Amino acid sequence: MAETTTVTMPQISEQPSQPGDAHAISNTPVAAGTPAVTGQAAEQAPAPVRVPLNKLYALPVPVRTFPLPSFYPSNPISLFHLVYTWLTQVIFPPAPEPSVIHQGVWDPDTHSVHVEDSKSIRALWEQGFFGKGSLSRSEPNWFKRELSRRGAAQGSKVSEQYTEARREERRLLKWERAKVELEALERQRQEEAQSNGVPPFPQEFAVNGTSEEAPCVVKKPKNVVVEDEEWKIIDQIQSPVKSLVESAIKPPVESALDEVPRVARAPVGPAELLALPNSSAELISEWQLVEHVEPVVESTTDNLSNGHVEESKSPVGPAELLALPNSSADLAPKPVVAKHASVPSSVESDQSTPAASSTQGQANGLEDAKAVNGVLETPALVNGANGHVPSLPSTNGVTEARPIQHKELTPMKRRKSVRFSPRVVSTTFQHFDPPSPSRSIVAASRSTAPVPAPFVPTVPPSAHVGELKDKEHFQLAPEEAFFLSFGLGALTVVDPVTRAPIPTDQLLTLFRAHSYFPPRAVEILRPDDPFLVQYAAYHHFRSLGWVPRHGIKFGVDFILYQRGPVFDHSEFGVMVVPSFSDSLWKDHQHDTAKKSWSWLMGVNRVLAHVLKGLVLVYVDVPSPPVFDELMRQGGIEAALKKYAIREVMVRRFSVNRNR
Amino acid sequence: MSLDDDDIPTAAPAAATASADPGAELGMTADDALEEQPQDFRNFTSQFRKSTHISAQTIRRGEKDFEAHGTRLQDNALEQSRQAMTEVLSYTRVHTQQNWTRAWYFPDWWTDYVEEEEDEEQKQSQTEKKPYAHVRDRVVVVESSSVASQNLGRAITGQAKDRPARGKDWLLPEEALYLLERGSLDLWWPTRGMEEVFSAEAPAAKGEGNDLLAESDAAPVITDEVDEYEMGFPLSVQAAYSLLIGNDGERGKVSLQKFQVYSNLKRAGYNVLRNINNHILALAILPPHPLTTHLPLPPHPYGPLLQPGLYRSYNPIYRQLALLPRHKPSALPSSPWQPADPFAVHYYVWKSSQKWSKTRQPPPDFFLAVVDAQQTAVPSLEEIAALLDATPAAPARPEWAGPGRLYARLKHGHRNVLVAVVDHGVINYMRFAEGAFGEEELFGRRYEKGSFGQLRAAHVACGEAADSDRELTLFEILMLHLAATLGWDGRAGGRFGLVSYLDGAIRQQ
Repeated sequence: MAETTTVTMPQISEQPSQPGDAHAISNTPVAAGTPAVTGQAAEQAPAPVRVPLNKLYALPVPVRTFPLPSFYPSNPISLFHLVYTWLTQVIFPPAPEPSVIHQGVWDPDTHSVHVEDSKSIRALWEQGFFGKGSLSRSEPNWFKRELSRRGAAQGSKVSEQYTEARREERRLLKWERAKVELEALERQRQEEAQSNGVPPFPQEFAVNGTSEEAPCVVKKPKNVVVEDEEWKIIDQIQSPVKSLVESAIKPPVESALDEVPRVARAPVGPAELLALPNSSAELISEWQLVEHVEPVVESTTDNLSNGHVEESKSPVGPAELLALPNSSADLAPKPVVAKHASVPSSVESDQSTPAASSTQGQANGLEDAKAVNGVLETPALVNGANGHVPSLPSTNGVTEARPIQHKELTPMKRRKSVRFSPRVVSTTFQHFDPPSPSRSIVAASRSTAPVPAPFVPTVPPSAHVGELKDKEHFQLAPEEAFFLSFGLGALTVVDPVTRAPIPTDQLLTLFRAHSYFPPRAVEILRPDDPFLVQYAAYHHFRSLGWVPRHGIKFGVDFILYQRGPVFDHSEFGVMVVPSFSDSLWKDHQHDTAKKSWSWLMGVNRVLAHVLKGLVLVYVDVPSPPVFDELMRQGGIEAALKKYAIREVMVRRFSVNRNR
Repeated sequence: MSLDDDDIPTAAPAAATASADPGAELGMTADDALEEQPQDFRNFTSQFRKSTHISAQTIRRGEKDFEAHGTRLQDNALEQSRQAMTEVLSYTRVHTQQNWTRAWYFPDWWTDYVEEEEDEEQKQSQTEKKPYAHVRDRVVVVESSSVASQNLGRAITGQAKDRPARGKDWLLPEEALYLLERGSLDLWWPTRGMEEVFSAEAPAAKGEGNDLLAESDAAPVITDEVDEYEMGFPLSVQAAYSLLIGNDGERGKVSLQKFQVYSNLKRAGYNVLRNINNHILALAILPPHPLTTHLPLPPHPYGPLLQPGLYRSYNPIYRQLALLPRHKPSALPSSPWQPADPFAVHYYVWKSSQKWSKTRQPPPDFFLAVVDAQQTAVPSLEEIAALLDATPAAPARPEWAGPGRLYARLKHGHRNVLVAVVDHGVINYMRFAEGAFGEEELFGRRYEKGSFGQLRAAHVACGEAADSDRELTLFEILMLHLAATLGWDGRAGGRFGLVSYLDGAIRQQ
């Protein structure tokens, strides 16, 4: 929560991927990182030469091929080239492929195979997009991200940051769109007001909700969060204040107060203002009114000055209103802030108030002053409600007082921890700064507990880079590991304890047993073990050249890439459905649960939202007698030949669009 | 197929979709977005005034305002829409004489009409694929033909001349209910026999012709002061529902789900007919694949499948990896299973744009099964395979060949069937298509570099599949290269003598 309110911190988040993973193609520059750091990085090293993606990810599987060069009769030298290449390959044959056999460690806790060697990690990722980084979304790039976070130049182009930048871009886009809409709306209101002959001012708060959004329009986007919250708080506060007032004031005034935000009958003209009774309730309502209108009127007056200037200058703006004789501005004592800021006693109670947290992005010092002010203003407000007019503070005082009052009246809902750096060096704070000890909630509740010493980052950021170690490992799902070792022979899986290689048949049993939870005994494994069924589908698509990756993020078993996540979006989501069509299955126990229609519609809906098609992959599982016989005769290779695959493409059909 | 307008954007190259796509962010397919937009009644009413032919397609949907922003513009728009809606809803529906007809409920008239019809129908379906008439299920006889009932019902031919109501159209229960709900049919319960009901009108019908029959029927009733309800009495909609809605398999009744789907499709403008019997289409069934044939024992039961060695291209690598049997779509039904209710084709559906009459139709555009969402589940392999095999092969268009339309081809499939899932009256249509990823090998296309790869691919295309993975001699390689440079295009080859010569030469070795 606290991170979202801070603006200046570089955000490197570990979000799961959102629709489409083709991050590497997008060319948007990465915006994260403070300007100081990027400047430093530019000095440090020139950008590394970028390998084209097609070259980097040239191999579809971790097996190299040695194609012969082409022969052109028009170019006789190409014949020599061809013959030379062929001869060298005959005389000095390259190592039989797969020449590199990677090593993975079976991890029973996570049911996956870990790869720790960094070369193997890169090779497995680049040659067929196997596995995933344990600290990354898919490509193992935690190290690069960490480097970039600490200010190095290398890591600025990882997919997670592209995603982040893209999200930011989209957010701005949406914000722009909303701005344009609001402006259009505003213009429309102006026009209508002009044609009506009614000044636009009362129209502004005819609708409460929109007038409160108006400040967003004129401010910078970064501040939107903060501003929004302030306004929200004011909104929330209205009811307690109102109830407070209601308890003290007689009915007619109360009803008038109720109507203020809704009806365009606010006392704006001087005559009306003067005609008002001088009670405090009225004054408070006016304050609210001014508070609401102020930022909006800024923009409206701008519009007015640009276009058509009204001739009859009725005092509609806040400045004019305040300048009117007998308005409460004259009554309000101004220097409240300075006076109360010197009182230190109330500081302790304010660390979790909405006011403090909402304006966190701003200076901390100012924060304190406001809060102090607010706390001390509360009695003044109550007094004012009782009819004590002269003690009302300035408009600023009122707004700052309200959050505090809100806190006292209603239990706080939002939970936010506020962090204060012990030394106020800047208006920003680092991600790893602890909450300031004396103000943290823990410290407040258990004041006797020893306060941990605050961590102060004494080393400059670039110094971290040298000693940083790649702590990420690579994990292969059982299907991927088995395909690499059984299909390609490019992986050996070793035992985590003894470090002895596990033979493929034992590996299969291991994976099958661990596809249940808790792992099953070897004797009761069946041909419809989840691992076997999933592996059949995985092997099917791999052997056709597709790149299947686990698709739990999209609510499916696999997603299918034509080349890989680096190149394209996946087009299909695969749900694997075991099928027991063999008549011999009748005598054997198997999973008979059928998927409901709502399940299918749900999966289809989710996939349609991310522009993917649904494929139901029926795996026709051989019956246990057949399977056992084949396993005895020809091992898993013979048995897998009995797992028949049928794909059924599913999509919604719209009656309205096909006639 | 009309589905291709959805397929086009998805077939776009990956580079285009890689940029930030606001549509993807919003998470709406065009399809869903269109359906979920509110209707703009103002456009509707403009259509409404212009002509009486209102197509729902012409109604554009507007943008939705989620809150009042207090402008007069918005208020006016809202008021206009309300006005338009009032106008549309307050339209007085008039039942004209031409569009109205009377029908009688005779549930037991065709009970004995069984054996001969089925034989006849089988013959018919094999020759000209005429829909099975479902004569036994026809329980409502229409007095005269009207505009609305023109495309419904069926006259039963081959009857004796003295049989009453000869040449009249007989309706299936869903047709009768649909017309009844539409307001173009009055269903009557006869209190006399068929002979008496229709004997009175028979001469009149002959004399005046079919179109005026309804009037001639009504005229004597009024002038002669005959008791209007002498022959029977009209049924309410409720009564008609209770008479015509039943369980699946009940003669002369239709299940509620099927009726809902039928009327939904009819109102959307489709032409719908009940199917012919399933067993007729599924005649040509190939013998099922023997499940336990003896396979040659693999040399390495636990892999690796890929033999270590030197590889010149990825084709042999992927061929060694190919292990699981892939589905090969064929023109003839290939699954060993029979379609069974509820996963059977219940309706044939034609798009409205086609020329269509109830006796002569083009091949159906869609094949539809109706299932209940609560009673049934997602079909099993047997059910969906049999259902797909009950439809004719519908491969992708030939112009979709090539790598550019790979996704479109895959999504279209080789056969397809619609399943209307009815959940308490809410209908969701799903399209199931027979996919064949095995027909689209990605490795052969992408990773074959140079002319050698082309030639290897050509070899595979020439029919020499499995044993082409051995090493070629240098002579063969040179010859193949020579062939390639002489202008022989890899994949399209096979007709050239040179290729067959080379093939022969390679095979001999």
